Amino acid sequence: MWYNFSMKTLLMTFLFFTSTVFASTLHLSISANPSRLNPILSTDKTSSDVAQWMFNGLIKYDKDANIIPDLAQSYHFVDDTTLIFELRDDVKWSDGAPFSARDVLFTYETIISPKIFTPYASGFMHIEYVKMLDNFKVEVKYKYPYFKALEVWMMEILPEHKLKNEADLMTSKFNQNPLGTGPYTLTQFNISKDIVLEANPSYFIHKANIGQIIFHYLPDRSAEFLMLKSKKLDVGSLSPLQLERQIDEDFRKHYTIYEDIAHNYSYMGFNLKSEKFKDARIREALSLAIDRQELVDILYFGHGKVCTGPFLPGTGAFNENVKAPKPDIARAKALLKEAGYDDAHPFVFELSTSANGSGSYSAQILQHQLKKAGVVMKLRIMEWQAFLNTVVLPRNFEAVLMGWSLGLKPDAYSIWHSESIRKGGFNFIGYENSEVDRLIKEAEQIVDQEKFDLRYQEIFAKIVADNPYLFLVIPNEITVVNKEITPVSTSIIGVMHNVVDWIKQDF
Amino acid sequence: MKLVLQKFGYVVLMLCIISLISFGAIHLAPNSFFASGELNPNITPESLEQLKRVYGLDKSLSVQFFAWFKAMLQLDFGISFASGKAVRDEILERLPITLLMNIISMVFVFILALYWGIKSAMKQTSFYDKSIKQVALISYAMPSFYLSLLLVMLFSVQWKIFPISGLHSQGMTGNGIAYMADMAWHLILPIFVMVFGGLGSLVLYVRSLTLNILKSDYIFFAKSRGIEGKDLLIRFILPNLSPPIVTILGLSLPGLIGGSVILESIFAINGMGLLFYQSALSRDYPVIMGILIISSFLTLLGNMIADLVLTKLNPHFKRRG
Amino acid sequence: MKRFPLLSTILLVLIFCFCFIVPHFYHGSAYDLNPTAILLPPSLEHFLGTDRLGRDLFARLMVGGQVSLMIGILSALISSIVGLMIGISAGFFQKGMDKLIIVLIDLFLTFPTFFLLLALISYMSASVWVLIFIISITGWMGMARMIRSESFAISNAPFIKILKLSNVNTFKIIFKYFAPLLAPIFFISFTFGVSGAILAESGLSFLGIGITPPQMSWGVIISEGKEVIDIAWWLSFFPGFLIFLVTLSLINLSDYLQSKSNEKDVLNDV
Repeated sequence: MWYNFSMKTLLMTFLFFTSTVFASTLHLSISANPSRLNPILSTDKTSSDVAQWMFNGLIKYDKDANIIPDLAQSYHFVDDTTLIFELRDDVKWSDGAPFSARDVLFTYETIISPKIFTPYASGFMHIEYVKMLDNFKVEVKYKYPYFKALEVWMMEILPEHKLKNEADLMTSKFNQNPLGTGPYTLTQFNISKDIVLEANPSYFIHKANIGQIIFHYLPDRSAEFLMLKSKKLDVGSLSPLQLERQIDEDFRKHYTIYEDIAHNYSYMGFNLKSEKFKDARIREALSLAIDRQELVDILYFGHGKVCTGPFLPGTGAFNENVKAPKPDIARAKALLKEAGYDDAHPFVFELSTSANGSGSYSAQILQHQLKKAGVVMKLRIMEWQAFLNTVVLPRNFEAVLMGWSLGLKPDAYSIWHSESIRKGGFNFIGYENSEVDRLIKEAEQIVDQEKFDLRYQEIFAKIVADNPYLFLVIPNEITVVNKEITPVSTSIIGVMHNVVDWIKQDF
Repeated sequence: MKLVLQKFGYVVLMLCIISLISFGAIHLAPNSFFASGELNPNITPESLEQLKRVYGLDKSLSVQFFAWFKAMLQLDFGISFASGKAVRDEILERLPITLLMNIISMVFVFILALYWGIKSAMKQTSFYDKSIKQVALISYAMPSFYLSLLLVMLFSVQWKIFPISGLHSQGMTGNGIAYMADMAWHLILPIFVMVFGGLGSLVLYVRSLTLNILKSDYIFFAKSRGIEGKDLLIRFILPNLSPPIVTILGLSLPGLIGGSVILESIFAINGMGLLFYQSALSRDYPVIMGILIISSFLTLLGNMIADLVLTKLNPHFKRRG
Repeated sequence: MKRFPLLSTILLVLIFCFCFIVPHFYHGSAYDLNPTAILLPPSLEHFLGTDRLGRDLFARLMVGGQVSLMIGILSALISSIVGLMIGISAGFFQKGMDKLIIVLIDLFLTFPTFFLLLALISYMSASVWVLIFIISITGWMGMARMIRSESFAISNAPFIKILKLSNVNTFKIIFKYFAPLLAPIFFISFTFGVSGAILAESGLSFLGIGITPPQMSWGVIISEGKEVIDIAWWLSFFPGFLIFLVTLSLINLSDYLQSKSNEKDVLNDV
């Protein structure tokens, strides 16, 4: 039996190798070395960028951000707190071992284990138990109705058979040599070489058409761009500057350009515990004094959107009735005057931000804009870790310029609830509104999407009315894809949503 | 032998001081574990506490230090926070490329510096000498990142002669000649920058050493006996040049494993320089400490060897007063 | 006989005037952004073009130069003085003091500049003064070593021994007899140090951990230009070229001083 089995794998690998000779390769780039190719432990973006091809969750988002089954065959709520997953019975791990409910249970137990650190544990804390009903049926019982009961299970599943005897997952070799159920498997992960993935021939949907993915390590943004320009990458991202100024006809002939809003926004947050910003008139004045559209125009050459509030457009929580204020210097000056500041005694404050990314440019543009309203904004721009540890976390600032990346299912608790003001929480600006607190708590227990959305739209409007942040810009994500690849389409979850079906014509 | 032991004792003592200082400096600094340029709102205060527990950072500083020190004596530098790999493995992964580049460039630098330095000294004040000297001064004054940017701009972007960055072309695998050639082709620009940057000071040094030798009495006598050209070079100049050159070699020892952060980031080479820089930026303590200790050990060792060689070659010389 | 490096000196003077005097007469501002003039190539209106926010590069180079030169000169001055004092202490007092100083020098040699800088900015925000401090404390060792070995020789000279024996005040010996003998070394290594410090600053700023906006230095301008090097070569070319000119001139000057002092020592030196 064993013999038979290994013969089969041997034969398969052989066939596999001969077939890859003709199969095409997808060239991608990564900007840093992935730290751990383990979806539940990775805290860096590059790790997830690579690991996403090797693992699956029970459910996933489709092109239009609807939840659809992935490793699960179907799912249903028995009541508000009980969720049943029926699993697919045709899934194999890439080493041939069958996937079963055991793996789901194991993944859950690993995540909540005190021996590991995972940033994803918070969602699982609301679960009372996970039970295996049979080999392909799992029951999840929540302690109370939980609004993200379903989304939590987008978490990728780990192989129990491979890891059950692992003493310490944090330092396990598995993190460098992972094994999953996904469309690709890892064949080369060597620090000084490119990362290579091969199509998993037994992937449960179908074997990916593109036989190989190579990730090129390009730590420098300009290096990535130069590689794109010399047509050595199939998919890449462009900055608006590159799109507007740095590409030529030849580039446009080779690549199709896709543009969609990114899932993040930038903001200026006020320290509401500071006397200067307790006065709502000041915050409103600053909001009227800045020109968000100019920020979009200079920083992103128009490839972005003015941000109107704390949740992303395109999600149910977005409140489209809330509009960004029109710049009104006269009104801003009047408000400042009311609050006791004028040209002789200008309002002075310090804005801190990190030197990463576009932070320092935006800060300089804002400084320039505020000067027109007679506001003196000093800048303090620091290295990221120093900024975080000496400014943000100890709340040692008057105002900060930062950004948030958001998931498609918003969770206002960690940023807007007054309980998150405590040490280590992310409400570092000290925002407190009992109405918002109540709505957040209420929404937390609503499983029904529509009712949930209504509550969140209300939260959206209430937060914006208080001006705790100046919501600034949602940039566009500009992705280019080699024209030889079909079928490619944009989606709220990015162009890579259907890579398994991509075909690359090699000439 | 006693001298060797004494010096080695000094190296060990210094290492202890360095460990203590750097450990303190690193661990007393405020820290969090948001490595990238973004906060992750999913990380709760509770899970951060758990992180500290998992890494043993909740214990007292002295307990942490002694645990680290004890392990360090067995060459175990702990586990990287970022990757969960042993720091030793992490370093061993990055070391070969840095070592390779440094050795190649050092060989070039020494050969060229000796050649040009001696030749320039022997033809002092000639046009040749003046041009060599000016080139050496230029090499001194040229910021390496500027030179790299200019070279990439011209050779890689404009004329497309050399690759832009990285170590390998696409799809280059295996270990054959083609693979080696491909890698050499990628290494030309960064190594040129390294050689050019290192050359200046050494050419000037060799030149002034040779000038001093040429001024000495024995050269005068040798010349008066009719010894000239190659003979003079081989019998008198080179032997007298060797002690200071050996010293310089000894002092370059730590430089062998320390990669240049700027070069490695411009040319996208995953070497020691980038590792150290990135772990410093993300406050990955075990990696920072590991690299600091190894490089200070080599620095001290290099100094020690240079000292011993000098004392051996010239008993009158004692660097340590 | 080395000729006086006239060209280098003129260049240095010109660059100094450019940074500290020309700004008073120039119409452009280093800080005013202009959304309609982003990344313009050199022209009559903007002599050296504009940057990513439409600011005039010519004006920015002047202001950036002030910072670069100031950091260069001040850190070289501090590190030279520190090196001088430490070196003299070692050479003059010898014995225990010398041993201590050797340990100190070895310690400082082992820590890379950027590491110390990062360690320091964990506590305070980076500024011109922090950079000056860091570059000074990582730059004094070379000077200290040279002065130390020179001081040993002077210390053993008969007239110093006599002075010491005749109970002349230690400070008087040091300032009146010691220091003047060390002056040539001091000036050589100071000019050299200025170029080293300018290079160090630009390197750190290039990596993004040095000077931060809205302050600027030549290194900051280069690093801002790096991203757009293929469409706006002027942004990284000019500041880099200025750094290169300044360091090269300083090194030429230092080299000249060196040969001058050698001449005095050894008359038969050519």
